[in-house]
Amino acid sequence: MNLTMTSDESFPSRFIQTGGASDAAYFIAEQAQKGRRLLQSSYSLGLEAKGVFEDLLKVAEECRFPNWDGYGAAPVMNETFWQAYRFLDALPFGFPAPSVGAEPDGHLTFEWYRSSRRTLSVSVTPEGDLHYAALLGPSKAYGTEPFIGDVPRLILELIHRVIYL
Amino acid sequence: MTGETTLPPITEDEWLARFVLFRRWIRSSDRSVRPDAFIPHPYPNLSVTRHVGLAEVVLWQIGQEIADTRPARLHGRADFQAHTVTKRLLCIAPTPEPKNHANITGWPPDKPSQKIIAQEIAAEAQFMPKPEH
Repeated sequence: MNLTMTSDESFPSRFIQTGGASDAAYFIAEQAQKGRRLLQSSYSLGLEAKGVFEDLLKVAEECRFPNWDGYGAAPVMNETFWQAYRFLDALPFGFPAPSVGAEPDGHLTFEWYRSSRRTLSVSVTPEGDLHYAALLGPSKAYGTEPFIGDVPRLILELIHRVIYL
Repeated sequence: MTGETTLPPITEDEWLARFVLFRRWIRSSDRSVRPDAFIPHPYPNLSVTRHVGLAEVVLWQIGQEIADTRPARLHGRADFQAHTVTKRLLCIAPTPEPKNHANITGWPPDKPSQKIIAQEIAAEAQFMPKPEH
């Protein structure tokens, strides 16, 4: 697995989604993607400047071999990295940055943590499923949402509840 | 290592340890443990060590032995009481060996249910860094 990535690397074109099949639709989507990349590198708005993309790469590299946790963990696969990358890139600008981790089954995790009883963890699978679990004071929420290019509204709401409410 | 066969039955207030061999399972902000450390894989059970009857130094020796056999670096341990898992309808099954070993069993098969339990254990666990000596 080769996970080289630099901060100014343009987003792989195979991940650009368009609403149409024409060259014009592709061009517009590509330009929009470039705009997002610029905003992500913004100090105040973007996750890139906060080092989250770099952390994601470091965690994926550290966990690319079996048994990276000493208890027989599964390796993080290339597909998992790219799904996680796309998820991060799809977060709205200005949202708080998560910390990056990994689970023994090879899933990458993003965590928004305010306290031990106010926290959200999202696991990204190689298939693009998002398994989430949140402690919200005395209540909790957990489940699975598909990731198909946009961060599910439910997860955005949970981030907001964990960090701001 | 010979297993201890005369340990008392597990009590609700008994302390258990999950050794942490991956540094990113420790939050840098407050040195607490992330739930990732409690996800059961590749086995359906979570491996822990019972504190009962062990001096602190012996507990750390067991952790170091686990790390050495992988090999991996021992960063510390997450301590939590037995009721933390039993009130989530999980069971604690002692094994004859290694010494003081037990498995937390009865995990639900689906990942979201495992995650929320792991989060609740993490919320009640206390991280103990490996002593510097």
